[in-house]
Amino acid sequence: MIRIDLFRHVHPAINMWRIKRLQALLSITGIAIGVAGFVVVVAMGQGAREEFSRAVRVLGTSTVIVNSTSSDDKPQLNSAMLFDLKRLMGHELSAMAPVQHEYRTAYIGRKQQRVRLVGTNTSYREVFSLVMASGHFLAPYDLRRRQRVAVLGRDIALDLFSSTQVTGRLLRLGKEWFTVIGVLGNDRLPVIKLASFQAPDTSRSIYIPMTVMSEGGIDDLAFSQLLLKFADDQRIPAATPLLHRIFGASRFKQQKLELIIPYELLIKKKQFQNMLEFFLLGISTIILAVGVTGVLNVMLVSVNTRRSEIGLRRAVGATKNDILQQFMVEGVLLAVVGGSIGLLAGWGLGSIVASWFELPVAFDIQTILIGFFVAFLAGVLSAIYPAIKAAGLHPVEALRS
Amino acid sequence: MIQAHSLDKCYTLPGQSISVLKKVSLEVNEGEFVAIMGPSGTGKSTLLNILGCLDVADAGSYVLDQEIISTMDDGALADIRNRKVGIIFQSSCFVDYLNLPDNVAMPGFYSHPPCEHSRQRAIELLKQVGLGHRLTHLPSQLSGGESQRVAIARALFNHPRLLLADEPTGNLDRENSAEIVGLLKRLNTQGLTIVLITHDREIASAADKLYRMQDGELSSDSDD
Repeated sequence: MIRIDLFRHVHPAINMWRIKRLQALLSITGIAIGVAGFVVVVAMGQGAREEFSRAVRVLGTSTVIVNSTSSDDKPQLNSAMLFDLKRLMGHELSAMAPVQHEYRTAYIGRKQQRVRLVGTNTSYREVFSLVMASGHFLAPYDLRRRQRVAVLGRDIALDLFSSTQVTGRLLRLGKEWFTVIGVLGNDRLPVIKLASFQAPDTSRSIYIPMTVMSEGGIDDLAFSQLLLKFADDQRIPAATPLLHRIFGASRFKQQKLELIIPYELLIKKKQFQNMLEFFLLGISTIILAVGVTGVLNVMLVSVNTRRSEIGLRRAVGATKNDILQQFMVEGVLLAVVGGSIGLLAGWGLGSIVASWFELPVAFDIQTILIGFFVAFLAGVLSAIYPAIKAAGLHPVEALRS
Repeated sequence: MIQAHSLDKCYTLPGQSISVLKKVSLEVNEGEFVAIMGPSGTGKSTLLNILGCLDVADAGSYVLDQEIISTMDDGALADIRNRKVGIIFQSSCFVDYLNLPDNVAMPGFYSHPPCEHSRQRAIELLKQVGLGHRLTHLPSQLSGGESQRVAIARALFNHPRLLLADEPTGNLDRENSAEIVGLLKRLNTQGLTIVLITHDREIASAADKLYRMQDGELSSDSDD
């Protein structure tokens, strides 16, 4: 009858490693470094995947951005281009939002705060799938009549008014007074940076009619960014040459304008991250293999120096299986302790990577479980051969040494 | 208690085969104290290993306490060693990272089911052999005589039917030897069957019956 009761071997194993702590420490180190590497890679991969899906959720797969890149801040886009666009490919576009932004100070009573002011139109809401916490978004009427109305991002509303139910309240932006007509309900978003385009944090912006911002009529707008949403994302590649023609191919050549297809950039970024992840995974595997060899070596030495102990245990009634379990537990214990240290180190390292290289790193239950599993596997791999060797010793042979 | 009949044991080395036991037969009754004497290298320890179920003979039959040992597999042998046999070795052999009670309780660790009050019993046994004051010590902190007393305590842990001692006084001075022999004698008077291996005639004289081992053959001392 084979008994499997691994836990009763844990306490003696802890006793043993406490006395042979130098050996234990040396073999733990390799496993700890390997697991730390693994954890960082897994967390980075997880972070990248989360960032990707969040960015796709915000920007969608069918968004195209035309962006001014000139340094003189002169808006490169105008109403005439909007007309051409509507005429030539209006049937393919589900939303068209001109964007111009600047920074102003918002005043409410004694409170004041520097805010990002976005001049845009009704379609902006569709491009970023914005939801309202209260009131409504900019209406066509607001643009046509150049109404001094503002829609607040959720966090700004909470900062200035301590509430999201502030429709009808007045707000001073720079020198002008605006009426709040709505507050967005979207949660705060992390910064998404793609080439020269940075997706705005919608919860920290204030939206006003484009016509108010540029101080021109609806046919007389100048702006630096245009957000387009296609009805069908499959049509984007075919539409690109036409977009170049509408906005002036020379502007793109002179790098005054650039055409950004966020989804394509996201895919490229993801591919790069996948490659990086694969590379780091390879390195971690090598380190872990070195760690496994370390534990294997310590365990083999341990078996050799403890032959008389093995013989004694066999003499008082231990079966081969008992000895096998004992040495497996000893090896796995080392690896699990090393793995736990590695998890902590990986968490620290991951936080440093995240802040230094601005890479998204996510630690969740899955990452921790994978770390433990890798450590456990390393323990089993490094202990199994020495344990089999120990169990296979003949009691008389073992006692003789 | 012991019925061993025509036991043979050979060790094969490259190029030659050495016959260590040649048709050895031995009967030991319950409660007997038997000593086996002989120079080293004559097969005494091999015989003791077989009697202690640590090894099996190549040929012959061995019955211990009505159980046929010669046909048992490794697991069954381990179980018999655990339940019925206590062994004391010449050089004290311990697990160096366990304290004395844990060392003494080791047979209980491998019992089915594991012994429940093992620490209590170990302490009781250590007191019996006069080491009740050394409970937190490690084996490396013991003298030779103390070590053998701990080894006896360990051998007694599972209430064995048979106690085997392989030169238990081999590394001890006269005073300590006498003490260990006295302890064995006392255990024997309490009914424990003992087989002792020694090359010291004085020690052997403590036994009820004396055998001699010569070139792998066992003979009763009275035959001389």
